[in-house]
Amino acid sequence: MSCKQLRVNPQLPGWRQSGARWCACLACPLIGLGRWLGRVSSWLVLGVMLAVLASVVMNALSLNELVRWDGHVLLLGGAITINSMTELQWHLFGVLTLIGGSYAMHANMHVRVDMLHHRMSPATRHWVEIIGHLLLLIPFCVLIAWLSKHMVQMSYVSGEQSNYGGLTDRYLIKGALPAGLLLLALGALGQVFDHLSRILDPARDLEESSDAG
Amino acid sequence: MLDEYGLAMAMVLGLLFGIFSGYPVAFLLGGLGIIFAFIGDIPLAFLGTVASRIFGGVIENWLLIAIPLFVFMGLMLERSGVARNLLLTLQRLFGNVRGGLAVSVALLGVVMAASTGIIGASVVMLGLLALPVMLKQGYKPEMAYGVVAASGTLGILIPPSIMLVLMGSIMQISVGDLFRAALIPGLMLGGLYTLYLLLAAKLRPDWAPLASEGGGAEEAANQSPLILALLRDLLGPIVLITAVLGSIMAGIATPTEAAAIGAAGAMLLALFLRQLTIPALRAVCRSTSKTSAMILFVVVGATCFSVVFKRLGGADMIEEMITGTGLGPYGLLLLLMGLIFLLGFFLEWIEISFVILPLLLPVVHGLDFGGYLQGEAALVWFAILVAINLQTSFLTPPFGYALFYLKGITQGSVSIGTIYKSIVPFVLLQLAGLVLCILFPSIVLWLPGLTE
Repeated sequence: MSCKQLRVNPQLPGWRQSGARWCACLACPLIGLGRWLGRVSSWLVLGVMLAVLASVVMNALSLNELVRWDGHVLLLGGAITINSMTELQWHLFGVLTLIGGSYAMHANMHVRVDMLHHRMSPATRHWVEIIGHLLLLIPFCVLIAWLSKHMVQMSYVSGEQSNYGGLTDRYLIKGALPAGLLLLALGALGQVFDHLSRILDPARDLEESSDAG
Repeated sequence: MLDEYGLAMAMVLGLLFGIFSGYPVAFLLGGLGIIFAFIGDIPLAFLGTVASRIFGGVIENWLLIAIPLFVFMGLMLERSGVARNLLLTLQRLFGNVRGGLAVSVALLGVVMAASTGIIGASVVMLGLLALPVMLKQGYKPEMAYGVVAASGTLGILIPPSIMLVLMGSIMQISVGDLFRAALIPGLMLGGLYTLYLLLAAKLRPDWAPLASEGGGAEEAANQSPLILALLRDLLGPIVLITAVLGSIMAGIATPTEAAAIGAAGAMLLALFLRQLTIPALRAVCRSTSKTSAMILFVVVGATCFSVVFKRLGGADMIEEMITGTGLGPYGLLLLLMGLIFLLGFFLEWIEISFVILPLLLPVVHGLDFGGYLQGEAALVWFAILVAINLQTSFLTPPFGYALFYLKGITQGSVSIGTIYKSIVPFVLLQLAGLVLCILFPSIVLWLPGLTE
């Protein structure tokens, strides 16, 4: 994805060209955001691995507590214990997965059944994505994000934290769920604009077809 | 039936229509759930449970943490050239055995496919890696393509299979038990493949020439001694796979812990080969993030779909339809297997495990085969049968999914007919394996100790 100007296609009427340009410009920041976050967050898999290994090692050495300090640090509370490590595993995994969902969408990696799909014309394929995103994906993301507000609120108000002396501030990871879904909805909106621009100006398909994140 | 279950049936039809439109299945599942929640006038408060279920079932699910780690391990082994070196060294080791190269490819498929997860990816990877080597040595395409497709799909059965991790999570049975149960059937199928390959190579020597007869021998001159190459290329992966599987089987490590050890081990192997560069690591991390999100978002979408589907009476509908056939336990088993086999023609195992399996589970729970085949043992047995069945389905012409991926990487140079011909023997071997496991459940249940 880039916002660069494409060569002018003389056969197309002017409104289609300018429409395509507008749509591409709207799509660019939305898709760019999802891609950028996806690239950055993909390193978290190393964090997941290290957290699992750390808890294995701490378990083997029967080391219950790594460090303890005074005062409250966000997420960690007052100490790093073996349970902090165990819970850190799924905290990192959750963030990796939620952001990864948008990243995979922008790279067109989500599982689809392409028996008929690859026989459709490019325009039909774009319409399938547009209708699907508007009718299915965006309502799903927005509604579930909105419905999870209650869960996050409860967690924040009650100061929910680990029952086993692990991580505190559970509302952070609970809040990651609506945040991740909203990111996906924004990304889907970006995809809708991108597909529209490709319908309006089919030349864009040819020039950017081999574009992966 | 129509009045009672009208909406549930409409949901199934919507799913079928949507799936064939080619829209991503994960998003389709989530969206259909929302749409039908509105049509069916389901209270919003009830829909709120979807959010907490996604949180509890995906994010907080410690078992699923194994998925990105296993994917990372597989991609790392591929990217760092460990897989390629393994194949080349095996080729030299079996250079003088007729059909040896084909057996090496089958071995590689088992080692590698286990960790990349989805069928499409592992068949493509194995094809790109092994087909040029086989064809260069003069193998007939009729032989080469079959080996690649069959070994690429064997990975969904042979541990550490991501599919078994997910099935353990869905059916709430121990993943350690599933891995132990899959080992003997997996090795049995691998053994059948090997026997067939060696036999076919013996009967049709021109189909599987030796390295010295084909074109693969000229590189051999300036290579390190075989024993050194074996130490370098074979020892590492073998130690890695043994450590990962052994620790799960022995019950020392959870699948998640073993996966982390495997991921770290794959990085170490890459380091020894001087392939652990920042660009390589970056590429592997990025593909891992996308691949595992692709698998896990089907879980997210399916959570929403099945909550609403159950609320609309869908689960009862399926149960009534299946038990309404009046079949006995074995009849039902065959019916379910037939259904899954057909679905395998157009769905990946991810959708089948997450959408179809939970719907069939109440029926499966009710199956009583007598003897030791009940409760946990029956579930483990059923899960392994589903795995073998799906693998067979992915290979069966004319729809088998692995075959289309294979056709894709040949870029039209080979006709689909040749690919069909090459796969038939493997489909027959698979069916033989499946029938053996149905007739003799102890093949599956002996190792996990569930035969009492």
